[in-house]
Amino acid sequence: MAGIVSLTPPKEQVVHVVDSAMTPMSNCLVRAGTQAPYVIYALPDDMDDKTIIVGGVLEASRIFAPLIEILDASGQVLKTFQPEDYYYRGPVYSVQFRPQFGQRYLLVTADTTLVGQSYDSIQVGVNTSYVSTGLYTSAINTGVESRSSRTFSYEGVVRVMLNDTDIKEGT
Amino acid sequence: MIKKMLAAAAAMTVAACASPYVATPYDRASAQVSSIAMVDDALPEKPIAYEVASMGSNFGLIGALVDAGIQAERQNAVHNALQTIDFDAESRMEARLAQELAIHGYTVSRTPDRTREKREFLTVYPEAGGASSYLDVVVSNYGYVSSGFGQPFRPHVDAKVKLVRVSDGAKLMENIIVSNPVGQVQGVVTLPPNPNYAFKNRSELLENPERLAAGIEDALNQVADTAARLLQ
Repeated sequence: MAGIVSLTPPKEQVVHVVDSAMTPMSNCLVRAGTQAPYVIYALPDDMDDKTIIVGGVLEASRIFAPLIEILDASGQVLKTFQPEDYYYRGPVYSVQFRPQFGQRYLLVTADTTLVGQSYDSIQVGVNTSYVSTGLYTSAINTGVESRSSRTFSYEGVVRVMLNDTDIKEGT
Repeated sequence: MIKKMLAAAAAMTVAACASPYVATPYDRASAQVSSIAMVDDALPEKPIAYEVASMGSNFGLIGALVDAGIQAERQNAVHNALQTIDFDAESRMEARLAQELAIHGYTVSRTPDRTREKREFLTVYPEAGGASSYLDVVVSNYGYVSSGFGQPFRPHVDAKVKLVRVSDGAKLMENIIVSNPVGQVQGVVTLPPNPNYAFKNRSELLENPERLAAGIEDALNQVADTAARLLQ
């Protein structure tokens, strides 16, 4: 396995975000006769007060279909997240965990059983525009809705968000 | 209300440069929890029926005052319509949550009836009745939300859940679950609205109380199911 991506931020910060594009050029993992792109992340040495969210980003028409596993220092699988562990957390279809002692790497590959499935959703929000009368400017809020249908894919973006609830500690 | 909803959405949206919401994931193996006492008073008294970017809210103080009256009147009308069919949202949600927790292998009990002073987690918990943990569910808002003038009303639930160990008060899990959020939220479990429940306007909301209640119950069930899943 090649190209391990470090999750250790340059300095302690509240949230450290790492995005990885999964493309046809990504490294490929072959297991049980099935090929899938993958990326490996090295968990930070200092795991205290860290919480990790990792998954596929909701893009305009696709979501990378994540299959997420935690490995030890020798690359052995310690934990495989099950389908019921995944949630839509805002713009990321993801799992969330706190790294434990002995856990060293995060392997993200494609869940071939999820690829091709669709996720239909409705998003509501408010747009704000500004109108100037010359004397003053006022904000006009307008309600908006959009429907989207996204397909789980072998390609897309994997996002890791490393949250640190105590950045006063050393690195 | 509009300021509160937009501020909540904005706080979670721009959180990357401030303090993002960070949930506490549950680790069942280390938590060693087998029994849960569900804390009473999960829901506020009345559902909302709120138009976020309403026409009136865009016209200064006078508009805001008129708007507040329209919003309150709509909320009361929805509340009264639900009362005509004796719809008790809290009992339904608590029953669903208890059922789902039992499916996940927990022994479930309930703490004595007590009204919350605020829509916040309790700081002091009542007698657990032998349970090893408390599940504190606080629904801030439930009911219907329209994003603005001309947009349909859809079911909405905004809840936070926390599991606390009885013996030492340790927080074992905490999450926010939002069904049909207004705007994009980070770090929070989000559930899209069920497209089967959409009401064009106030008249359509009030037309059929059974359907009005069904939309709310459906959203509350999704939140209850998600809360239980977070503890599996």
